Amino acid sequence: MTSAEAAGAPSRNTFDSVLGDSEVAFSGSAGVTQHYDVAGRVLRVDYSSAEVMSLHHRALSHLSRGPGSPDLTVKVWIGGEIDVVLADGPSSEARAGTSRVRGALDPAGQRLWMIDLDRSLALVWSPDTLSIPYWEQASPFRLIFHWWTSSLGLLQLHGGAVGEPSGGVLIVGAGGRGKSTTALACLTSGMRYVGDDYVVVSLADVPTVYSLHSTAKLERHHVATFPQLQGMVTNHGGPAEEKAVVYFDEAEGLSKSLPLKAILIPGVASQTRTTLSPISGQETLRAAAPSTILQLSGDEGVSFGRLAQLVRRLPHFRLNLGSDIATIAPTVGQLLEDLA
Amino acid sequence: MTNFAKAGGHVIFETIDGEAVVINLDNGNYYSLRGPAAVVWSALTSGHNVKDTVAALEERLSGDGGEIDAYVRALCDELRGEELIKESQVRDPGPIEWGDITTGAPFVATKLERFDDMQDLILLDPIHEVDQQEGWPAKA
Repeated sequence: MTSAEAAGAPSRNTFDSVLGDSEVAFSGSAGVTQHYDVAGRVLRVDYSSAEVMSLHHRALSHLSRGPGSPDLTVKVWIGGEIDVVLADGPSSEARAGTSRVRGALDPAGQRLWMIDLDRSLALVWSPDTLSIPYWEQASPFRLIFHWWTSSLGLLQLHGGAVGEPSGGVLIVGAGGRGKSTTALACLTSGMRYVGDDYVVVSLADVPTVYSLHSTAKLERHHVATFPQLQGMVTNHGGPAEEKAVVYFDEAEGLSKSLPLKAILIPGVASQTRTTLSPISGQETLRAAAPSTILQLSGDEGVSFGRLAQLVRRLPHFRLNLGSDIATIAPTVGQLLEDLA
Repeated sequence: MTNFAKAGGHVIFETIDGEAVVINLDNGNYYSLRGPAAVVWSALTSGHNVKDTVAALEERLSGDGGEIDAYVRALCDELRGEELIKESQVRDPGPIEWGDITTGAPFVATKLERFDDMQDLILLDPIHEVDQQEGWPAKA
């Protein structure tokens, strides 16, 4: 990566500079275009090659749709050089959600994400395929989705969602507290599954949760908890610290969206059966907000406000996870029946 | 008498049912304030000074004036120490949110609860933002 030329220049100039880099990368390459339905909007992604598509598309394939007038176009390429340098930290405008051009750079992997909300155009660059970690392939474009959906009045959450076509629950909370376990226990019991890591929520008259990625990521020692999934793990033999990744399709229970009926905060309890217990709005917000907000890049205050709105509008419960995994889905199912 | 305000854009908060959740985006610490602590937070972040905050609590709640005074001063110091509030030149303080605290309710001191179990999320996500006005300055 080279540097310096863009220093001090308006960021839209920086965006244009990187856009120029993308045009060089795309010229002469056999690009591939895909369209996706993301939260009811049309996302067009131009991949610079079939190989680049193969690293990102699978986790989004359930959202595939025919060509249409895009609400956002993302250009994705690998290789070449990018002429930008690092900022020292988030700007006040970015945090307040008022800046129209956003960018972020992962210094470790040297990966770059940029969006120009006024031009409905985003850029995603990586120096090589090795710089794209497994979790990025399982959950592509997280930052782009956050900036874009936030500008549309939506909320990207660190959490999962499951349920029935008539209504579902949002599963939020800190990592390691049982979000994936809850989501996968419900999926393997026949419920619909929207996601277990990142989802998008609309605060419309009927709050609705939308799927972003078709994947589940779980600790390798937890795979044995769900024998149905063992044959579906795609990264067998990966490093021990790498979570097991499973891809789902509609036939396996994947759903693009569900109307929301409640918020659940899971936690492991010293009991056999899974139960529900009341939790205050403040406790719900305190359990849900930090892991979502602190992973964001920009718009934190806006997102926090939307999450608080959601907590005020939906009933919320603590889900006390018992050691008998088979009791999770019936507990969630009974709640949905009670709330119907 | 010094007035106060939220320390800056790195501090965000939301109040539900009179209870506040505060997040410090710079270090990943987050906080819970309930009851009188949430009232003090509301008062100080909307531009009130300690003296006015003490007077408002004494007027609304039944309790020992000296105890309330010491409580507000200690909590104010704690909030400043956590870099959640700062001195301000505000001349027109906003309204104080009382939540469900009723007039004449007994004063029961509540604490600022601090949580630091999410700091790793900031360290795990070392991404850097574009500043629209200033461009993308060189890393120091």
